[in-house]
Amino acid sequence: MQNLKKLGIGIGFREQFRADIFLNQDKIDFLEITADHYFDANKSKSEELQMLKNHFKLIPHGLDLSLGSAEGIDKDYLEKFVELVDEVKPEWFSDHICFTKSNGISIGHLAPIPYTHEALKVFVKNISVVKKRINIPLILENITYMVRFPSSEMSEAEFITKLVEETDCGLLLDVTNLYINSRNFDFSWQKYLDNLPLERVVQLHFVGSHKHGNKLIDGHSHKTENEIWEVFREVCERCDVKGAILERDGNFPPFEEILEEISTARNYFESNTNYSYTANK
Amino acid sequence: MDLILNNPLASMYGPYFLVLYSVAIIFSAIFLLIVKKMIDSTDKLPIPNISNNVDPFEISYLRGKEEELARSVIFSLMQKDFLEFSETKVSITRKNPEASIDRLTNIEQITLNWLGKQRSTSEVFDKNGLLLQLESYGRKYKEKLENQQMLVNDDIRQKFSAFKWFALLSLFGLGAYKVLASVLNGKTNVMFIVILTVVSYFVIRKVSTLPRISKLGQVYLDRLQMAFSNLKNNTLNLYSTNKNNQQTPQQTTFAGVDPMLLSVGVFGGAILAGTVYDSYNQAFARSNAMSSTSSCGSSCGSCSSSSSGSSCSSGSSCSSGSSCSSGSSCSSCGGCGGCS
Repeated sequence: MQNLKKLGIGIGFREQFRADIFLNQDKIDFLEITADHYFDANKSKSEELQMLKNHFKLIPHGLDLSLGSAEGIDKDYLEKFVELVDEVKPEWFSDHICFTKSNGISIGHLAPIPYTHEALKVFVKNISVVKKRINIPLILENITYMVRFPSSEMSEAEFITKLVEETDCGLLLDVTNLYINSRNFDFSWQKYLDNLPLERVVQLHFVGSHKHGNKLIDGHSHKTENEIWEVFREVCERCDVKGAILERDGNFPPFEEILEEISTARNYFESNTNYSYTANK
Repeated sequence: MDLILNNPLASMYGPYFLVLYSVAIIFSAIFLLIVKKMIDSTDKLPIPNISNNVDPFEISYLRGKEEELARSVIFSLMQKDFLEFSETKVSITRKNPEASIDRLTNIEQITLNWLGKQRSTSEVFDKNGLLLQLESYGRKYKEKLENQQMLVNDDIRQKFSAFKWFALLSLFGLGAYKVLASVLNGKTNVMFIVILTVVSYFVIRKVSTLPRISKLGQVYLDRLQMAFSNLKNNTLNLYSTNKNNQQTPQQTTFAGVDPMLLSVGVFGGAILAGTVYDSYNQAFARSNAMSSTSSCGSSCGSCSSSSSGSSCSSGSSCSSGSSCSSGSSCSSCGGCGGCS
């Protein structure tokens, strides 16, 4: 993972941002595309992909590989992912540490798994299937959850550590998810980081959270708050991060606000790495 | 001489020859259409990237020559509050004459100087009007776009012209020969051959009009329209007259690429229908309708002024301007007329 190229700071591509992204190419290092949006792409989506590819480095981010499904990997979905990766030729690709399908039915949600040895075996088996077909690094993202399973045999950090080490995968550390879980389940995110193999952190996700009752929600719809910047800053200090993506999916602000967030992230990113955005442009 | 007057073609029964001649015309037309499709191979070239400093005026020129350039510059000045249309929409008046023009671009300053205190809107498209003032900019853009192979250049036109003349002369020669042979053989009923020869001229002329924009230019325009489609929608929503606040909004980025101007550059002025800038459309529609100098101007204007302007502008055939620029009847008009 250490040999991967540094990509810098980017944004999750959403159609709503399309014009602004092109008008601010000089301020955006790379884009993360939702892989599923380009499977069985019609002419318009194919052209969009070509256009994005011609202008930016792209990283495909999957939603539905369902690496935690005991039934195994959906072969059709995987083949579509293979095609996309062949087309985009990214530095790496990513999906989540969760399951999204059960008995062939998509549940439409990133569902958490119990941190058991059995679940670990399922992940290892599924990831080996994926890695046989896609020969570039896979990085795995931590998710938010509203429940923790009493049947878990280890902590989340332990589970992730075993998972990425057994599968030789990288980590896509969503600092917002980490912060939200730490608040909702009252644990220290610093200690969580202490227990992660930080040398495997490749990419970060960040965005603001919002409150719903007494819980924090990862709605991808708010400005990154100071507490999450604190997590971001510390991760940048402790890890050789290759890239970070702002994930905004709703409540879209004027693009200047997005650029401000990218600029803030860049300051933390560059002050802790040898990477200079301007030198790499 | 005997062979010239006594061969299967010369002695062919008249109606059969007319059928043969019609087939020859159709084949010639198909041949030219194929050549026309193949002669522009710019679609094999890499598509230029969209710059983050994209020039709305250059895109306007690409869509529709000096006419579209003039429309965009006038819109820019209107947006910057330097001019306004009269209530009757027949004239453009300078606003805020005391305001500094230092921050205007050269092309905007030239347009403003030409405008003086007031001009009739029809003068904009007069050959000796604003178009003349913008000619040097048009040349600059033309040269740049031709270098980038976005426009069909003279080299391609000359090559295609050879095929066109070959087809025309072959058909004309065939018709003339049959007429001559018939007359020399004492048959004077040649009117249908003459008519068909004339028809063949118009058919060949129709199919051999090359578009102004090359395949590469069209793909680039399509990409621009895809890249900036939501910019158009967002900006139009912001400036829609359905909003409670009907004040003309201030331009957001004076020195950079303004989203509204870019939208007009990429999609044409028709998108302004139903916005606070609707007077712009109405004025040009009226001037075009009244103008006798531009036969295609009225079709552009009717597109712009149409109450269904928004749906028109979102259609690719209209907004891309391809149908206009490739059509012979509208070739002097530019990008707007595709929706007429």
